[in-house]
Amino acid sequence: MIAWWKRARQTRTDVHSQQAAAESRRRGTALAYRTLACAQLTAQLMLWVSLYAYDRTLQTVWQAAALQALPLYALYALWRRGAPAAGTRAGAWWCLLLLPCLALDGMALLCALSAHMSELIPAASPVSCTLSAGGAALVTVLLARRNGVAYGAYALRWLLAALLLLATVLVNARADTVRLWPFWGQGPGVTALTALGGVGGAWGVALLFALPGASAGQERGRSWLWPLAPWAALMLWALWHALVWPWQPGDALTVGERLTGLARHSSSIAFLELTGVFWLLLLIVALFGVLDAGEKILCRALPRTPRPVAVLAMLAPALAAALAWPSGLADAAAALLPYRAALSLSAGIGLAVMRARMPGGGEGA
Amino acid sequence: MKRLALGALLPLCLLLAGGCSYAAIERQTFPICIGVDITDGGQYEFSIQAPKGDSTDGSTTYELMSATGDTLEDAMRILAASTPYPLNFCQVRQCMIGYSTAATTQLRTLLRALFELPTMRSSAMVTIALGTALDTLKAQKPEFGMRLSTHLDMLFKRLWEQNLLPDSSLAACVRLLGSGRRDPLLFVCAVNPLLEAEKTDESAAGQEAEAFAVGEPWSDDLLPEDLLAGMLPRSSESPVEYLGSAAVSDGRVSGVLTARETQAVLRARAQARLRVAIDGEQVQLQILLDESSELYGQQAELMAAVEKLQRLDCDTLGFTAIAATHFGTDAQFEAFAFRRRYSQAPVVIAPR
Repeated sequence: MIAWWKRARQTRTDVHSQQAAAESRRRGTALAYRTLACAQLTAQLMLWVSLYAYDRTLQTVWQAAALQALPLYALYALWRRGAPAAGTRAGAWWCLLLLPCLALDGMALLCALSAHMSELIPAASPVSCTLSAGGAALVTVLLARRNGVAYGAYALRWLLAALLLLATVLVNARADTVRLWPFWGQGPGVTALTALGGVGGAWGVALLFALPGASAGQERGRSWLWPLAPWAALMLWALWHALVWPWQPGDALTVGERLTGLARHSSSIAFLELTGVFWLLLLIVALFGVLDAGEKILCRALPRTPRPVAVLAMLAPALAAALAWPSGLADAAAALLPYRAALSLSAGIGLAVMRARMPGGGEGA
Repeated sequence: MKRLALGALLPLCLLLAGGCSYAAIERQTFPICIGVDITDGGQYEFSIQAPKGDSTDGSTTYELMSATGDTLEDAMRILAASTPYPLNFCQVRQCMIGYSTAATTQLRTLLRALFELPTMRSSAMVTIALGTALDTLKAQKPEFGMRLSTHLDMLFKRLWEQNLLPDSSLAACVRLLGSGRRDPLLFVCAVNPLLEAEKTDESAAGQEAEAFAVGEPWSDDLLPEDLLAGMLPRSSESPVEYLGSAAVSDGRVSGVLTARETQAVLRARAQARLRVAIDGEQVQLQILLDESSELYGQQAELMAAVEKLQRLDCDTLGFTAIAATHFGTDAQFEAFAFRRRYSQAPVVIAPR
């Protein structure tokens, strides 16, 4: 097992020099961080469908999900433009604007994880679930090696993808395309307005560039594929909700019931269990990613900040909000969470302007 | 530092473990069947049929327990509070609802209350008892010495293969009743009064002839033209019969289909291509059959079954969902009011 983890620190390809080995390791680290960023992005976008979008659009939820490609790639283009500036001292301060986004992400993830754990263990109180999840995340990130959280997410990538397929395409819940009609549902306006509420979930594309390890060795040709994976996962999740109609908008469902709502209509209880495992893994990986990303961004801007303090600074507001406002996830989805995109946009614009003012346009930075 | 962190991890695990209420399997009650009725006094009656352990001859016997309350939730809570072991619904095979209850109550509210029960098995079959659920459960017993769960599993599987069992699982019913695009067909069961009478005659003299009630008297609308549960010409140890289906309209049971009608409808759903032609205000329901299919030679029976469904205002074939494809928005579809036109729409059966 240890040897398997150690391999993650070795080169991805055969190398014949120290320089090539270092470059290969940098690429591997970048790959791991981008996978972690994708996992965080996927979690936020899928939560938006289950907790907000499906209730408002029913059969057109997949259209609202498709519209998320616009803010995703708009932010991607902006951050790619400003990425060389993110590694500078001033750029690191611009990236601090992402910390409130991470805190809000952390709150959403903690609330969802606590609700899901309460659903799996009904006798456990939501408070104990929240504290356990937060505490476990804190200890794991503190105990991890420098890039350990990212490598862990990278190791789980195919398992998460397989579980997502089992939770959607293979869930056998009698999906029927006839449920997609009438095609425009309540009208394109309602769908577009609902999509606007999900724009906040797209902020995380900034992490592909803002994280210290993610941008290094970026391959220019294929970097546009990275936002595609979370968007494809979102489309799959939204489409299957539209094909199955697992619940009606007026039904009073808990957060935990919504996350596994699709699988409750499958013919086998195994799919329900696997969907539960999928959400546990995804939410936990995303939560670890929030703390790790926050610590990296904070420590880059303020290098003298001790690592435990940086991690606690990310966890504390999320934990406090989740404990004080346990039902706030549904309210926050509509009110607060969309503003994450504005913060990400502001930071992206700042970095893009910085890069434009850098000598040589920041090439080679 | 790392030791401190590791040490901090342990109490966190205890936070979760301390909240778990571990109950051994032998200290839980696993109902196989549950029943819901509304009594004459307007109260909800919730019943469960659960194994009560092996009897002296090695066979499994079943306990029937029930409780009443002003609401279904009250009745469930009273029953849960009065059983020695906590109830675990993960083994439920059947949710039985009395006919008069199903015909007068919004089924979705009732079925959702069952669906949302912790541990409830979402694939449990919803059945309508032609009578009361409690009396039918009282009469129910497995055949050939099987366990009741095995008996029901095998029976449902065989009937499914013969297109005699509609997809009336709890999850499917909750979803269909909520969508409004297709009405579910619910499986029907009843106590055969002839078999019950034989059983009573054979009982030892001296025992009180406490006959199992065989349910409410049927009205003329329910008299079968074909085979139906409760009227099968057979003899068996178990007087409870499963055959036929109950049509649902506007969230309530509106009538009963015989076994042959059920079979024709289920085959049409599986084999036929369904279309809705809309020309202005005119609507035509089209059923296109493959000439090689066995249903093609049974068009008269299929037409009779579909017309009966129209009379009962039950759109179990899903014409409403197909009609929705003709409209751009929900508002346009609702304005057209397809469901009001459904029962009067002409039906055409043609080769594909």
